[in-house]
Amino acid sequence: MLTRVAFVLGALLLFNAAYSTVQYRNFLKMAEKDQSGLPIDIVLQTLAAMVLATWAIVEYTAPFKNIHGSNERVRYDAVDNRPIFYSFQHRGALLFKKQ
Amino acid sequence: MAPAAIPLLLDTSIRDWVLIPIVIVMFLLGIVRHHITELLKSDRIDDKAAKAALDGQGLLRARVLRANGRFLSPLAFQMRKNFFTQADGGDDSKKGWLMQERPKPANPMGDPSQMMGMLKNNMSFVIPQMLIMGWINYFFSGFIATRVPFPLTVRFKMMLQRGIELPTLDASWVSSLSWYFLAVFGVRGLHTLVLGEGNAADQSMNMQQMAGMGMTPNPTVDMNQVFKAERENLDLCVHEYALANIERALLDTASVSATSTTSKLKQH
Amino acid sequence: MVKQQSVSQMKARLSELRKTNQRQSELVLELAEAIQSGQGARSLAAAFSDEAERWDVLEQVARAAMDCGRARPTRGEEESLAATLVKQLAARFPESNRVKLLQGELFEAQGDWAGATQLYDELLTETPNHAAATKRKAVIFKSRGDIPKAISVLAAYVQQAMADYEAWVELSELYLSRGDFQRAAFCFEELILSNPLSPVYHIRYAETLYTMGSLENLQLARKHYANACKIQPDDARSLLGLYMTCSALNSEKFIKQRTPINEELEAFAVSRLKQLYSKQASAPQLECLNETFSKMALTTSS
Repeated sequence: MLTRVAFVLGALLLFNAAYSTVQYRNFLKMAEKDQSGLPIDIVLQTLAAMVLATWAIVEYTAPFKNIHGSNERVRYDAVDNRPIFYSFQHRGALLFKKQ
Repeated sequence: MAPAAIPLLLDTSIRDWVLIPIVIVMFLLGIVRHHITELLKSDRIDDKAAKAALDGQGLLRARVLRANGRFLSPLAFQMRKNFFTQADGGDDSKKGWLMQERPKPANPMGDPSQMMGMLKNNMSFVIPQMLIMGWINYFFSGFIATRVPFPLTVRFKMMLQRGIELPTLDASWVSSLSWYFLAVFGVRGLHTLVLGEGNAADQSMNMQQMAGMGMTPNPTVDMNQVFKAERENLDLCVHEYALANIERALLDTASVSATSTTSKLKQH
Repeated sequence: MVKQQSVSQMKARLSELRKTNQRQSELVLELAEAIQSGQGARSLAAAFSDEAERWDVLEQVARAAMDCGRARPTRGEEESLAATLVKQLAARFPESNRVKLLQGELFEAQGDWAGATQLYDELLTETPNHAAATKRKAVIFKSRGDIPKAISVLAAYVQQAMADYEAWVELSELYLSRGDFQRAAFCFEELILSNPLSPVYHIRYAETLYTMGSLENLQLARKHYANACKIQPDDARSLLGLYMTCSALNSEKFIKQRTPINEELEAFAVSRLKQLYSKQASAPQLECLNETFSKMALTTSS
């Protein structure tokens, strides 16, 4: 929930910063000033929006997996499992009989 | 500063009514194309495709033999090498697997059913592309659509400024047709997001033809050539037995680790 | 056992079992029942709102039901659990090959060999060299106890589809069960080619060679055991195998071909084994182990 809100907030901030930039540039054009540089608050807003949105996206998608992959190694009793070759003629019918 | 920075003020209607609609139309068209291709696709794997898949497996085994054969004993390696490349002495049953002849690739003009398959695949790509380009040329020609943010040389003017007859205009200002080409690649990313990988709206896959190893073999690949290449590779392959001195190597690593542990112990 | 978990945890456990290929059929059935009752759903399918997951789960539970004797109707049931689930899948995916395969497996579980064979033959005529159908036909023979026929079906398959390593593994096991070590060794060679860095196949190959027992086989077995020790140090199975092979080569039978490296390897294996066990075993266990080692004549001191 928090990550979703954070992402929306980050995206909105980014749009706001972009729109402000366009408006600022138009203002500079009309005032015929030198068109370079942006006011510091727009820059800060862009950076903050980027950080927020990146963090939110990364957190929102699936949780991180272990880098060593040790938990993903095949269990010893599952090493030889070949599902396509499973035979159903075994004692399971008796062992796991529904009581 | 580069001359391209001299600003030309473009009407914002261009952005509203040209740039954005082109992107939207291409995106939606891609989705339509994807679904139509899915509907037209036939699931049947015919005999030829089945055989080609088996050939692919044999080739894979030959390649694996080349790559990892050094872990087998020389006898086992030679046995398998013979299986693949043995020249027959007139006796067909002794022929190596890679020495087999495969039918020459079918001339696409000659085989009507195959041609229909190829046509169907191309239909969904070529015709919409031609239609869109015609549409863009009709509606969106004669004006500058946008500017690419980097300077370009004069050569690009011919390609990117079709319909704009201004010889002194910077090559960075481009027409809507080039915006269309840009959008082709841009929209591909969107398609992957929305439709998943390998979707039929992705034209770039169609442009790269892969060798016929997968389920849908390329009928124009000559299996004889592939076999011959593999045969030669296998002939050239020399068996460097990786396990020749493995016992000595194991003892050496053991003694190395033993001395390192003892030296560690000494330090304490 | 499963009652303390929430429904979503149980669904996650089911999905984990699916992904890691484990054959824990009793657990799967328990989980399925618990999920269905936990959500108060009419049927198992209704308990899963995610479409994609739903049908995967039905397939998984159907196979688990076949494993636990629910392929035939039990007392008080009109239709067996497995049959119900397969019917639901067939209703949703009428033309699917995958569902047909499951249907065939149901026939097998019910003992209806003719029905299953017929279904697989249909699949094969529709889709030539449909790998799964050929493999299931081999399994039918295996289930009926006719291992030679199963071997011949699989061997014919593998001659065509040479890169299907699952089939090679199954074939190797079938050969071993018949004591045909020569051919089993061939299968293991294929598997080593496919995956040379995995110690498993080297160890199994070496074990087969050791069983066959001639001089060349023992020497080759020693090489492969050594390789396995190198790839995976401190693996008791490969160390023990190395020791057994070396002591076999040291025996009277091969006295003419004795080499000094054999003694070194044997000593190495013994010392490593003792190190390994002393790290992991408690004192009384170690005593027991030392006694076992001495009875096996691991005489080198270290």
